[in-house]
Amino acid sequence: MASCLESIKVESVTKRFGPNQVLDGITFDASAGESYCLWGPNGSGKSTLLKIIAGLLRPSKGKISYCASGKTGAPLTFRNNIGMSAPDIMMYEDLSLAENLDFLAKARALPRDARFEDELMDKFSLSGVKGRQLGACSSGMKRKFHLVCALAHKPSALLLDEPTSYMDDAGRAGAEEIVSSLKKDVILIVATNDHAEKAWCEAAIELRIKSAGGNR
Amino acid sequence: MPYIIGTFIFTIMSGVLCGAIWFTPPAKVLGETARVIYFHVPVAWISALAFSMSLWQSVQYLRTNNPEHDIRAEVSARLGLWFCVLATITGAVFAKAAWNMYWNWDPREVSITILLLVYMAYFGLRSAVSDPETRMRLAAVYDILASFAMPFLFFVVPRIYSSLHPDTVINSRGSNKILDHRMLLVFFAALIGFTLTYFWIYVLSIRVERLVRAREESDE
Amino acid sequence: MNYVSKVLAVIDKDVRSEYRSKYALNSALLFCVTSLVVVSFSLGGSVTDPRLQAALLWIILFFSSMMSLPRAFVKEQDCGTMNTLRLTCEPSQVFIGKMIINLLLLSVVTAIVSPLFFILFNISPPHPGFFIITAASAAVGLSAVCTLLSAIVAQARARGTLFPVLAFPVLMPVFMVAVEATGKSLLPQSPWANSQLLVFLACYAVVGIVGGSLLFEFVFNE
Repeated sequence: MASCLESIKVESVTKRFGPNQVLDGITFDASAGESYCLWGPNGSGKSTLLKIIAGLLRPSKGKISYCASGKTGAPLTFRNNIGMSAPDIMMYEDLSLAENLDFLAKARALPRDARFEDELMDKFSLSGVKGRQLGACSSGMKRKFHLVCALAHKPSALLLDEPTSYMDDAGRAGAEEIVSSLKKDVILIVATNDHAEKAWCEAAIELRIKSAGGNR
Repeated sequence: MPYIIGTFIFTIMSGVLCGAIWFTPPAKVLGETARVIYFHVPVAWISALAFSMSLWQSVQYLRTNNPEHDIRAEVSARLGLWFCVLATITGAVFAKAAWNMYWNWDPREVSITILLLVYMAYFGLRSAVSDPETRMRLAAVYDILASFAMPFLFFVVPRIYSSLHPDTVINSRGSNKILDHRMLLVFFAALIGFTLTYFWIYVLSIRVERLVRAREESDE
Repeated sequence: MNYVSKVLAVIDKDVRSEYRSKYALNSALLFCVTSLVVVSFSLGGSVTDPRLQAALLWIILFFSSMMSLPRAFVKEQDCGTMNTLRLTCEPSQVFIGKMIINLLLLSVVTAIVSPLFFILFNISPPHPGFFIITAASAAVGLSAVCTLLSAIVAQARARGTLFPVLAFPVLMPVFMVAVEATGKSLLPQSPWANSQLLVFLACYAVVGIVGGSLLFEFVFNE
């Protein structure tokens, strides 16, 4: 791990897509060791908020700041501290699982912990298919592998969007086991509709669908 | 107040129009056709001004992310494009009268064609992006990228295409020898008049654009 | 060194996946060969003016790069891996990596197509060195600008038509100078008197790389 994140500050984040207001003044503060669940019906902006927290979307108004050892900055300046898994964030399907992991490790140029990677792969019983192209894997295996990719560089902020969707029971159990073992050191934010995933987190942030017509 | 400014601009422009037709004598080399310079040159100048303004506002947009700058950049680019079209047409008409050809790939004709293409591409890009924030960002980037290429263009084009342009004829021998003081008077009045007209349209268009965008946002 | 290996990671990944699918290279080569054959069928040996020959060669190369270069980011966008890149790599790292990939692609295509062109048009280039430097420096400028435009187009609709529309006016100076310089290299007299054309292409390449990497950040990061 580079330098550990101490906190993520979300300050009155608003997001609108054209005329549609999706998020309206979300504010919270997450410190290392805390875990939050973004909870709400479809269309309430859970995934959008998670993407904004990761720095993949720009909020219409408001600000996200990460804080690590006295330095604060925009999310992507701390990209090596972020581990994110979401249904629409893919890995390279024409590369094998091992090649994908290689790419991530080299592109980040962080010290690599091969034992930890193997452990993760074992936990999801993916070690046997390491050489297979990702495109040839089932949806469940892909989701498991995405989670492995999110965790492989030992991030100190875990942003997970429906992390166990498509997974079998063994996968869910493995995911829960890993996440709960990491939880005390990291900032965990999970966007989900799944009660089991919600149970990973200590606190929930409820999001509601905004009424149409903006905020006037 | 707007009425006073409007009337003022209207007066100057009518003066320029009358002056260009009746007050000035025909030019020595080019004869009656030279009267086009009272329109062609100011229009070309306005399009250069508008494009520079658009570039400046695009830079400001990337720096501040304030949509107001994008409004200004877009409005300037649109005005620049219109004035560029006018400059092309007035130029082509003059070329027909002077050399009996509407178009002969003289360096400035090449450059203006490419400018037209750049800003048509700019609006093509704008209409191809649906998310407003992405649209503003990408449009600003393209505007700036195009401006990086422009100096190369102005450097290379004259070396490859040979010039027929009359202003090299007019300017190279000292303008006062060929343009007499009445022509100069009307010429500079035209420059001022067109510039004022441009700013007037610019301010109005910004206000319209603001309203259009506000309505898009609050619709549905 | 650290940075270099980070860029190499991006290149390595793209080379691997291109090696498996060969999509970009195949489509660019097929396009080039087809249009080359069409051009030489329809014109035969009747084109003897070096400038015209140079123009034909560059038109073919230009349009083939219009087809293959946008893929750099369009593919990432379509496969949903753009966000993976954003979360993993610095913008400049991605820009340089993708630019080098595009440059490799363009070089391979040019290295295959130009000899074919010379054979079909029965030209034995009198100054191959000058031509190679021309093609190489034009390719650098072309790939820098196209990489940036590819990232722009990836976020838009109607990419196939939009890309050449955006690229043409910006690449015009390179195109004209490349045609001019190639034309000179096909004449019997020494083209080195026109080496300012090469300087021009080199300047464009430098501005393309610097400007491209400056602007890329705004395209890549939301």
